[in-house]
Amino acid sequence: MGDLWNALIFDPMLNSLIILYTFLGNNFGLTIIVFTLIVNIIMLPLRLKQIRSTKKLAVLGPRLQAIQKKYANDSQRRGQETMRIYKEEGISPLGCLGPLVIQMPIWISLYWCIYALIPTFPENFASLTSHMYDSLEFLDTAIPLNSTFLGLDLGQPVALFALFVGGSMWVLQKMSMMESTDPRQQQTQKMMLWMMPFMFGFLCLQFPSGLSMYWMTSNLVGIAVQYFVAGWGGLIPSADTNNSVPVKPSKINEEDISSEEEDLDEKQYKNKRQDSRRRNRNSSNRARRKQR
Amino acid sequence: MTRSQSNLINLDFQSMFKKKNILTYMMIISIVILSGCDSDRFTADYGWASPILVEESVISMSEKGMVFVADTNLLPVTGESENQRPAAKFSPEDSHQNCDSDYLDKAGDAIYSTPAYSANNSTLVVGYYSGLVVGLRYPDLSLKWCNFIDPLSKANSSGGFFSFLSFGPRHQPDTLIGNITVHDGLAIMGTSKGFILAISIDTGNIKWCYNGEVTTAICQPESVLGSMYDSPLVDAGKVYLSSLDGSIYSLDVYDGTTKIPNATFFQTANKSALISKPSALSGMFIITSLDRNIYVINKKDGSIITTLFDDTEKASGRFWAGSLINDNQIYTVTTNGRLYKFEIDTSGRKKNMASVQLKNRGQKAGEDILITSSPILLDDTLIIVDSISGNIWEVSSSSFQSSNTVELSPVKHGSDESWQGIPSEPLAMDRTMYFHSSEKKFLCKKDLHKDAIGCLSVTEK
Repeated sequence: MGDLWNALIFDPMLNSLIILYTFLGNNFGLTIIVFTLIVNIIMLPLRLKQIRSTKKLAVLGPRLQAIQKKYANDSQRRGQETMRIYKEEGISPLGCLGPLVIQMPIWISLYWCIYALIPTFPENFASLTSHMYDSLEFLDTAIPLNSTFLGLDLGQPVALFALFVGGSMWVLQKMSMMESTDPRQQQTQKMMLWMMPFMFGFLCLQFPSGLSMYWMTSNLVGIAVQYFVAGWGGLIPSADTNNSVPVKPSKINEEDISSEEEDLDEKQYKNKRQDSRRRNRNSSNRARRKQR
Repeated sequence: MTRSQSNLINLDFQSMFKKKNILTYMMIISIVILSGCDSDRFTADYGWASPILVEESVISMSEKGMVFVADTNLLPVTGESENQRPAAKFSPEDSHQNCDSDYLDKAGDAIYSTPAYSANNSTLVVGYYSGLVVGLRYPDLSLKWCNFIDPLSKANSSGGFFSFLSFGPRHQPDTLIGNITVHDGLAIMGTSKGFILAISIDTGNIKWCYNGEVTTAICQPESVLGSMYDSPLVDAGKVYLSSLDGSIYSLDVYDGTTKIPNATFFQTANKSALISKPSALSGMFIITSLDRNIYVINKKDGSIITTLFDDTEKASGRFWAGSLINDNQIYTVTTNGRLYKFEIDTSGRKKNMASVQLKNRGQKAGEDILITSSPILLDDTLIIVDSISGNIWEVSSSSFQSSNTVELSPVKHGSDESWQGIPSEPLAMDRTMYFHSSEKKFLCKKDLHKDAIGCLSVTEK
């Protein structure tokens, strides 16, 4: 397992970082920033998908609520119906977890890469040579890496970076937070809003600041993407409506949330939808005929 | 968004939140495990110092910085390890009264630097990774003196648990990795922050310290020199030290002075790192480099006489190990296990070259091999050890054929278990080699051409 991890993730990442370091004028701080940007660019489609899914889910809420109420006693059916709506609207329920899941092996690998590249102990430096590709001879002169960036040693924890990581994470969490009136949800959101930045900030006090730099850059990219796609969100609620990019209108009509429809059984609901579609088709056909 | 709509959305997102929370907790746990598994990452415990021979005894270093005098006659030759009461021992805790042991605890007690013994002063000089250097009386290993290579180490020892909360760049104390050499009452060493210093073996006071300029009694906080990982070489009244910035520095051994700017006697063209110490050979120095080359340098002026590899013929790997010189033959080994033998003429030109690839059983060439220590010679047999697998290769120096390969099996004693791997150069004595196992819990011995390995537990319980 260890060999597989090294061969597929750790060694390629480590060698890529050294190559980047060589091309970026032997500046490891810049290497981490550029590496983070590359990782974020690769994951941009996923991140965009995540933000759009969240927005779509917000619009879908009334329709899902109808299902929640209707099948309150039949969890299996409720699940099936919910999934059907997700499918219809092209939403992946795990879409917003994608970037988190994909980033985890990157974090873990980067953590070990930084330890290997900025040797905390001589053993790390010795083992570094065994992970470098023998075929890339130009890497030989790159080691040991200069770990100083803006007067800071990226191999050691720096308290200032911990503050930046915690702060930027709080802003990102706040921006992507959804409006809630449920006290339980509010409590969970509040806990997440403070716990995550605090936890990451605390971890930054233990980890090499090179890793903090990755988190910090990643958060800043996240903030920028979140702003351009969904505005300031929960950070500046009043600005949200002004800045946010309009989301593609959903197929759901106001009538979907009417109390009348909530009481309909599945057959009636389907019939009603079919009628509505038929009416729409007929009206558009009439419009085409008129045009001719 | 109306209040009623918000409520509706919340219900739907409940399941999403649950999933997200579970993942977040998993992430937290994995990060905690990630850091927790490696909780010792900010303290060094083991080090890679080699055992040394002092009179009839082997001086061994164990984990947590213990120093033992082991009686070689009592070492078991075969079978499981045995525990043995050492003839004498020194624990870093013994330095409580005279040294700042609080700092020592924080920085870790590892000994990377192979100690040196001064027979004239009956003193063993031991350097810790934390930068503490102690002089121990032989044979009882009582503390004679202690000193720090970094004057700011003690200042940094205060501050307690919250010291890491200091904002901005902090002073990282200097560490000692390179071996110590004794010469004429002086213990000479190069540090990882680029200081070269000489300590009086009698008093423990710093005689001189070079960081670009010479100072006495104390080292200045910053140095313009590169990090040093190996022993100083003393030759004709001068001390030579190789550095990770690709330089060999040269200073007067008695007062640390030099006429060369920044004491840079030699530097590789591409500034590729020099890890091991230079070897002297009639008017020349031989130095191996991480750039896969071996430089033959004129001892008079530091100019390059020749390189043993060129663009048409490259070494198969990087050189961390130094070179062993015997009868005008140069032996060295790459990190991925190719052993080289060179014969050079009196002018330094290469006459012959031979090489052999060392392999682990059942594996491809270079796979899972990391050789960082120089070959040693027992009779006419070269011994090479692997810091990962613990393989011991015996290669005939004349025929250059691998004659025997012995695998170091994990050694056990009670709850102590060694990892495989021999982290440092073995000590050669007669037809026997002595070495530390990984984590330095055991001192082991092996006779030439025999497979049996005997180990002694040196862990203090």
